[in-house]
Amino acid sequence: MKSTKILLVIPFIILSIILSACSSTIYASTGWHGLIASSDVAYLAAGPQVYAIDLNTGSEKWRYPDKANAKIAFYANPVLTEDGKLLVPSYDKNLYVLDAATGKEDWIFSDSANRLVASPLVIGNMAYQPSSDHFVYAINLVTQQLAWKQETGAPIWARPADNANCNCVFVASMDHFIYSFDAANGNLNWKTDLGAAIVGTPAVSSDGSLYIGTFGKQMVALDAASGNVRWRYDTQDWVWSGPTLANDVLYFGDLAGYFYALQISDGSPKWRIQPKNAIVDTPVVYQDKAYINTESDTLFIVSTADGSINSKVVGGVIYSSPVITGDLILVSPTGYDALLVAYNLDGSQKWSFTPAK
Amino acid sequence: MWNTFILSPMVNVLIWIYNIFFHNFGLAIIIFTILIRLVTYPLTAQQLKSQQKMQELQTSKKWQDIQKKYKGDKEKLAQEQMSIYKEMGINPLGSCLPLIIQFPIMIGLYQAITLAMASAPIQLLNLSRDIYTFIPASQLIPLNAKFLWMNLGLPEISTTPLVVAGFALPIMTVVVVLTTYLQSKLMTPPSANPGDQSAAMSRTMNLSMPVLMGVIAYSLASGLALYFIVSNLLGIAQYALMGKANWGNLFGKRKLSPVKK
Repeated sequence: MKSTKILLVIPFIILSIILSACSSTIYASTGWHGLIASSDVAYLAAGPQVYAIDLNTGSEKWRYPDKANAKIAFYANPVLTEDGKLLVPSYDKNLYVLDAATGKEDWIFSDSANRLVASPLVIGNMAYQPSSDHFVYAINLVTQQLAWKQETGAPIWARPADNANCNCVFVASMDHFIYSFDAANGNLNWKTDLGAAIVGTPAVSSDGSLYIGTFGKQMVALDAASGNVRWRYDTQDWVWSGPTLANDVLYFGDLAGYFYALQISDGSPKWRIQPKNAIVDTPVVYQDKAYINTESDTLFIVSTADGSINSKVVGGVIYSSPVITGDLILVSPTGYDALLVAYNLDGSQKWSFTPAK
Repeated sequence: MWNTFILSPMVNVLIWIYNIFFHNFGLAIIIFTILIRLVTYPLTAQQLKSQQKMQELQTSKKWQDIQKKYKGDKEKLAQEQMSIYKEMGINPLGSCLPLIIQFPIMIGLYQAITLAMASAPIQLLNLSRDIYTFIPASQLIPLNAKFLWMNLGLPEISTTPLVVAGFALPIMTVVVVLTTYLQSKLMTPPSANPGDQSAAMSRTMNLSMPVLMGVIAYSLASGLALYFIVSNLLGIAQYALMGKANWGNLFGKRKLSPVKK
């Protein structure tokens, strides 16, 4: 009888071990933190909760939800609208619209059938939310209604881009295509096969070109009006993030850890460096420096003139790009005590934010 | 170690099969399961051998005698049984080995499916490092997770088409429970003494294993449930082809092998 009981218990012990082992891999580190900042508040999407942090003191203004919920996970960069709403996409398929001042929930867009990995593009009253369910949703933020939706062939992990010269939205999908949709009605203008998945947001230049990196180890320039390819530049590894465009130069990194500066006219390299580890987020260019985080504990500050490097050890592993607001550089490491660290432009630390339990 | 020797090879074999067979991940899991069955065939054969020896032992006069002699002394009975095992060169755990081997395969496969489906950025980043260079990863990613009504990277409950009175019915979980039960019953050799301890243990295992597998199939990625079902069906087919399936056990009739002396 005793042996029978043991036999009954053993499978359930094994089950507990398996489920706990497997569950931990589901929820642990599935994305990197999302971060934006206004002039006085930083909004940090850090897994189960979103935090509003006072930039002067580094103290918490509010958090959403009040109690962490394992089913909700926020990793995309939140988006702040002109009328003070904070749009926060979640892995639980919902787009949460919060009052940015108080953190109170305003309304939720819940049409998506799969997780929301990327941020929405906001133009006026419209939000264009990409989803892992293959659709991009155009949502009227005033009426809170869906205006249109368009399907691609795979999950969309890239925030769409727009062009001031046309009323269009560029959507990069993991189905290897980049799409141009009419922003008003969702009609397809064109689509171009780039031969590999795309998860970065395209950069758009004033001369009507579109620049996007692919998992096919390429940076590609396209005509934004027709979708025709203008030039291609071969990289060392997959290009994960979209490029940053500044002074007619594209700055971006790849998974081999190379960081490139290319002339937008023909894709010729200005310089190339390899700071350390994979680069998975879009760099920030401020004045004459590019700020990048690689998959390491260090923030790299690169001269845009010649690619010379300065670095600052932060801690943990930093995937997401820093945010520069006013005279502060904000860095959000994962696997570190502090969720957010603020540096002055001279590199000295101003404060760090660790949420109270 | 785990990643290098279990997880990475599993992920790469799955993606390699996916690339060859119509870019269908469900089909890749089915073919992968057949390969696993072939690789673990020597263990299955060993298990059958052990079972047969045990069966022969349990019907032998010597075994029956000690059961009667030490009926009231469980400790002494266990000692005597162990000495008979030793004497006859039988490993009493020999028939459990294939089951034990299943667990690392199961955990590895679950992780491989989750990794290959790469439904979140860090999983995809990890996958990009795990794929061997001969696989054209950049052309294949993202893998198509759709198979029948399922998204193989998610629990079936999120995509099941059968909703009755507001409740989503987990079809795959039900099939996993049924096929596991069926396999357990067919694999269990007839006992010489249905009332003895080992027969009771077998009955308990026959009931608890399907429940265990059902809970796992319900909770984790539906790709794993697909693996369970295919593995169970192959197991049943394998036993039937080898003439070892105990159909009588399924229909409540006992069939004993002749006692070998």
